[in-house]
Amino acid sequence: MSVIGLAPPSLTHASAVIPAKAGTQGPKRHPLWLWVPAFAGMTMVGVLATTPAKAAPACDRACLTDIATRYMDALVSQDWRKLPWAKSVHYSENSVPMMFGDAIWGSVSGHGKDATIVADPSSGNVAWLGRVDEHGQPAFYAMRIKVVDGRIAEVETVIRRKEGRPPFGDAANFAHDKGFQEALPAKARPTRGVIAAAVQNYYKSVERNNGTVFAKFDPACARVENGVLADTGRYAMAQGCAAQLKAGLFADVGGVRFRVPVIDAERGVAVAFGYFDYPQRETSFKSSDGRSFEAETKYPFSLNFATLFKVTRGGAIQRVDQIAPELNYRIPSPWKE
Amino acid sequence: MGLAALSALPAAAQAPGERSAVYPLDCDRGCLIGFARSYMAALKAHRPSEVPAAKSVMFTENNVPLAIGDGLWGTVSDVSADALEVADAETGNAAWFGYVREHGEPAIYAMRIKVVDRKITEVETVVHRKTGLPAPFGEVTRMEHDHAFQEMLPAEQRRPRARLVAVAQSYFNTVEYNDGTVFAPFDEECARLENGISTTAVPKGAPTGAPAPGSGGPPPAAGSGGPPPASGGGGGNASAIAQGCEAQFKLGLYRINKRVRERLFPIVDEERGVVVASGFFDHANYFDSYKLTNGATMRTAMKWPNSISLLEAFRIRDGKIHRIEAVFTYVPYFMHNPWAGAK
Repeated sequence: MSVIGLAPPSLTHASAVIPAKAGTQGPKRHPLWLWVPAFAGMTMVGVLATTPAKAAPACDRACLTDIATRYMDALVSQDWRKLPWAKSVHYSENSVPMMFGDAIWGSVSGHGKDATIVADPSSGNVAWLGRVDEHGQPAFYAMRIKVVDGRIAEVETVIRRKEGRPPFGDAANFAHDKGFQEALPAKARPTRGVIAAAVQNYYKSVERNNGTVFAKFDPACARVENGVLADTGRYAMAQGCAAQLKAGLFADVGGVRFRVPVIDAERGVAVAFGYFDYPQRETSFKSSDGRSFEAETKYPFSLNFATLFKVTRGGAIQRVDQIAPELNYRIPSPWKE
Repeated sequence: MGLAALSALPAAAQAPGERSAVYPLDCDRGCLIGFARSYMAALKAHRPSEVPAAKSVMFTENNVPLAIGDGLWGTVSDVSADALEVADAETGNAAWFGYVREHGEPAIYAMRIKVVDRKITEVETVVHRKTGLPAPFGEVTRMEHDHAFQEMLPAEQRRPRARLVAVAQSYFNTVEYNDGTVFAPFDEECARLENGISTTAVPKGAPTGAPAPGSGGPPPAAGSGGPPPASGGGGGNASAIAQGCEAQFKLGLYRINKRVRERLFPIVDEERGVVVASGFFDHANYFDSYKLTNGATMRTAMKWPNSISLLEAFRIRDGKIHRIEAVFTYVPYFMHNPWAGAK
């Protein structure tokens, strides 16, 4: 079978930025991102970003924050050429690798000024989460940049537009909890390992979903999905992060795939990227106390998430804030190892 | 290069991309369609082990590689009894267009298989569900596949394989950047079924007629809550604006198609004039309104980039497109087709 039409440019260049040297598509293997099975018999895989990526970081917090801000401003002006690009750049939008200048670079008309920026100088990653507008229509937007030697080497974006099923909140006026931006006193900061383990245990709990809760939660922990507090629908059956897991309200999640590429220990914040896979072989489920609830859909799908976590020194999760579009069932990640 | 190496050369002396210099003769059209039916029967029965598959079989659902048994296999509750079935003994491919149900809910469905040595080696499927996004979705109990796809053409109306593919290509070339230029030869009776609904015949009870120039941008809504055109940007059935295949393209209704990408043509049936293609329509949506060739303004139904992945059957009579039946669904913008390979 031969390809007669246009070759996808992301498959013809080693970089998502034109011009680039020819080569193969796909992110470079990162030796310090370890994909590990969550526990025996489960399909969940995750990444613990507990080891600094560089002995001597080339870009500190201010530098990373500046690059993320400049990227977003360049996006709105639809001029990617002004940014400091590495020789080989990888870019994805909702899990699809592509070239800069296409996709949202052609539809964007603005971005919110009240974004949450999470910088991780030790790994060279920075995330920007907030709002973008496309032809004036607001959407939830999460973006991760990896900086190498002061230049942008990776850009991963997750965009939830006003399409399909709920939840979809008031994107135009939404702002993440201010706690994600607050620096913690030195004695209150969790270690990177504690943060990563909290995220790992959270997804392990979601996937296990039998009432066993591996993660620790602050009693006031709240979870937000696309700008909507998760306390309606099935989630009205149990209020709070721990209670919903104890109730087994994630029964239709068949698998979790995730990475934690951004950890900011000064603020106790992590940003995880990944997928919830919903095979939907059943149409209804029972909570751990025997109450029935309907499956999200009658067809298989996956949610591609970018999720903020706020974690205490003791490893308790205080807040979970997720941006997640619905994509094809088990769509592969262009970023996984 | 030594003599030993030279002596091995004849083993690779096939035409590029071919596994043998002899076209497979052991599975004709009826045989291939039989394999397609076997696959659908196994799907309906939830018995993936009953698929006559090769060990190395590759299966995709909406362009995502899965194991046979996953995806739709876990949700399917029924398979339509009636289907459009086509095959190409030269390439060993067959296709099946119809619908399925998932836990009782209908989904429009098309699939292609490739058979080698009487085993299925490839299964490519497109499943279009009701997800809330604007797209045609026919009433499946009234879905009718045009019998013309099954009719043998008289010798003078047949065209060779390469020409049939060229005509299908010309259709995609017309869709791509549709600015009113028509590259495709259309039969006067050309009709198109998309996701189980006609998008070229007048919708029942719908007002018709092209938007007037300078009319301020009426979307192509049929006024009846009908589905939008397949690849156009508005909110209604394109057939409410212009009927037939060619008129819509002359108006430039489908201007939002930046590219028709990764086009493949795995099935050609010269005797019936049938071509089956796969590919993507990329709706870049750099703009959210555009002008038709008559000056009317259209507004896009969605404000963000999106792509549709399709399996599309053409019936070409006397070198002109006579019938089209397509199944397509939304996928993330610029998604890649694993069957297209990397270049």
